[in-house]
Amino acid sequence: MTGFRAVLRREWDDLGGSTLAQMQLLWLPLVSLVLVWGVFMRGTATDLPVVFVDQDHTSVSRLLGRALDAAPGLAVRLRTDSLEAGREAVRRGDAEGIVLVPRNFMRRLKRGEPGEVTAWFNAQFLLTGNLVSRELQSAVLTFSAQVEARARLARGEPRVAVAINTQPIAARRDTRHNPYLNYVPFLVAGLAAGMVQMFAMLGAVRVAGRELRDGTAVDWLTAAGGRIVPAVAAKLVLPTLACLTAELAFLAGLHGWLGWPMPGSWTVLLGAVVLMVLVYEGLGLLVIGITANYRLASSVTAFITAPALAFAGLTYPLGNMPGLAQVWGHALPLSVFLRLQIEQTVRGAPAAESWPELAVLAAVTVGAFACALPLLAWRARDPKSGRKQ
Amino acid sequence: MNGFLQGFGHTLRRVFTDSGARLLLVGAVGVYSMFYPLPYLHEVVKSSPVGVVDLDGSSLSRQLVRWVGAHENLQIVRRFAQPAEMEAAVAAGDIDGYLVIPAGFRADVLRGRHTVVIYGGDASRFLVFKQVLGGLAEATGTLSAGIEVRRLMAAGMSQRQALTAQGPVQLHLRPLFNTREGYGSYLIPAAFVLILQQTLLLGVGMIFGTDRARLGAAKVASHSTRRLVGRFAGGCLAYMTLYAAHAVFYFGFCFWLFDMPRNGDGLTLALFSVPFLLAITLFAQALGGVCRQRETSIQGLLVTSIPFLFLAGFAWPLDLMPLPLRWLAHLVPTTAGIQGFLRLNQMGASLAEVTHWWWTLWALCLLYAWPAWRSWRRIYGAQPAPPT
Repeated sequence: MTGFRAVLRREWDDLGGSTLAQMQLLWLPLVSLVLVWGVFMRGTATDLPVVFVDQDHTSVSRLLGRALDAAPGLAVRLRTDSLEAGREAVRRGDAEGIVLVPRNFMRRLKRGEPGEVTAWFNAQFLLTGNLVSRELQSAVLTFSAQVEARARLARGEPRVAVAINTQPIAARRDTRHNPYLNYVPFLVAGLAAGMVQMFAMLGAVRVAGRELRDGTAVDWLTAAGGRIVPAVAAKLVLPTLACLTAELAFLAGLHGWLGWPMPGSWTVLLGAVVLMVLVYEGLGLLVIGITANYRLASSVTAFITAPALAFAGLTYPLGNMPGLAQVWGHALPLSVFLRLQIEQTVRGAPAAESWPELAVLAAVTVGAFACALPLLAWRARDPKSGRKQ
Repeated sequence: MNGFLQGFGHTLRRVFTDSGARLLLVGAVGVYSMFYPLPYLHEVVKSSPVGVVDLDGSSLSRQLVRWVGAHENLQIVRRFAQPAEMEAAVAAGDIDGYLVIPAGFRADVLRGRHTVVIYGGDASRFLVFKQVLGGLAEATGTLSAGIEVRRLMAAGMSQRQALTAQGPVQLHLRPLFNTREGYGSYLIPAAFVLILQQTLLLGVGMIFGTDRARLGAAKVASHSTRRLVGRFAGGCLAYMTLYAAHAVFYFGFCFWLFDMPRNGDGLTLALFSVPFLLAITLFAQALGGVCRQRETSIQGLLVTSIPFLFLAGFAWPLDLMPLPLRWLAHLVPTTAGIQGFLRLNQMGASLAEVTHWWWTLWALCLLYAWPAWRSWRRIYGAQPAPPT
């Protein structure tokens, strides 16, 4: 038996003998993705802890305190009249925000002057801080509207008029382009892609690098009947399947279990997932082909894939980065994939709109393999290559 | 004492003479100090491009459009006749947000009827999103409030009364600590703590894997346990010393260079660093025990970076994670490290305010000491002389 099946058999036997190899291939990707999924599985933030600093000590200020606590997104963790105690609670991590009701708050409202409330959110933990800030804004706005409505009823205005007049122009947030109320889905789906590119590239470096390091590349090529294409294709079967399994399990967890909407095309998204895995496998083979050094190729993979999420524009827009970072960011296939993922899973763009991204991924895949295969064939035939680590 | 010094010197020599280990334990720490902050170097708040669809075309709708354009966060780059054109521009990424003013807008407002404007944005860019939606809501809210004040004044209120009546409770919302609300000053301090742990994890794993593959597993210890413990402790101190230098470079020089908030005093930081450095050293050696080959650490442990970062509770609060994950998070030194260092360095906390994390780190030192010693002894316990 030679050719594709022989190499596949060789890989399978190798895997069977090593728990570590099985871990690296499948369990590690699955566990990492499940962990990240688990961190964010709540999806929406509830009961974010805040400190209520009440320097007014009146019925109205206490009412505001209860309104904050009753808001689903917030929980009053501490009531105090010292602002410093509030700041200390935030520094300790017991609270993420502070609401200060100053002295004379109720008296000012009674006199018909605006009552001023100051609130702080912890911007060092920016994403949490943004959630707190949004919750505080809506809770205080609701409270303000209640105070106003009560004042109008006290003035004797009819109830219906009050309901209409408190807001002559209502502004409604459009949810067509943003079905989610928070950033978590973008972040989580992007993180999964960031991990899958890492596994794909590491996997390709591993399957080829091991043969070069152990000086068994000649056997590998011989098993494939001396042809590099079946030799590489058979090697990549298991890593590719493992990456796809992990990513698909993750997508099933998001869109199936958690029920996040998927307005776009599954075909396009899954096609892009396959292409992204292939692109990074191609790059991995290219790096091992160039360096012929398993250790160095692994380090290069770490350098390319570990910071990639920061450069791919997932959280911080590419357009706001300095030139050098933009060049690097645009060069990463991950950025192309993330753009497509957002088009399909968030905007629900028509499939045709994602053709350019698919084409880029396909072109880079072809290019990477076209360069990597001859290099690898040459390395594999030279028994001395790959011994230096 | 002899064994201790021997272990210290040998470990440092081992780090600096192995090109692979040197690349991870020294090179990567240096390169990442500049590479990770790179995307955020020019961090400025830009006004975001938005589009408007004015289906009313009245004096009032034009006023709303002007106010949107005058908002500091927003810049009107496109006007659309039809919502469909606007949809295309959002899809193409030309605009970050939009406002749709319905036909009959002015007439409804004048008659006191309820009218709804619709605003939205590209939520996939969530840092910009907050700014755009905030701006659009503010412009609309201001116009709405102005109309209401006029109504109340027409009903016989004084201007002051009317101003108060339309919004009796006013909220001033302010950022605490990271007052510029910079994304870089949020992410980089946490990423630096993670880089310290992960480079050490990969580097120690590479050294352990290399030596294990070369020396084989030890059957019999050829030295007294006492002498071995001394050598092991010396090795730990060598890693801690190297990483103390890295920490000074990151938290001192790099934070200064990138203009990050630096509120911690040196003594407090040093006191917090001791258990952190010891914990990551022992953690790295404990996990290094699974490495059988030179490449195992990168192949197996690199991917832990992303889960470790998000378990640290800085992107999503620890309290909102499922309970088992919260326990798991406490087992990773970066969780306590990120929570502690950010509070000390960026938020100006005192050591007393981070005691929970300080003790967590000491507990981790106790927890990982035995596994670390076991994996070290399995490799180096039988060596007659320190391997070079």
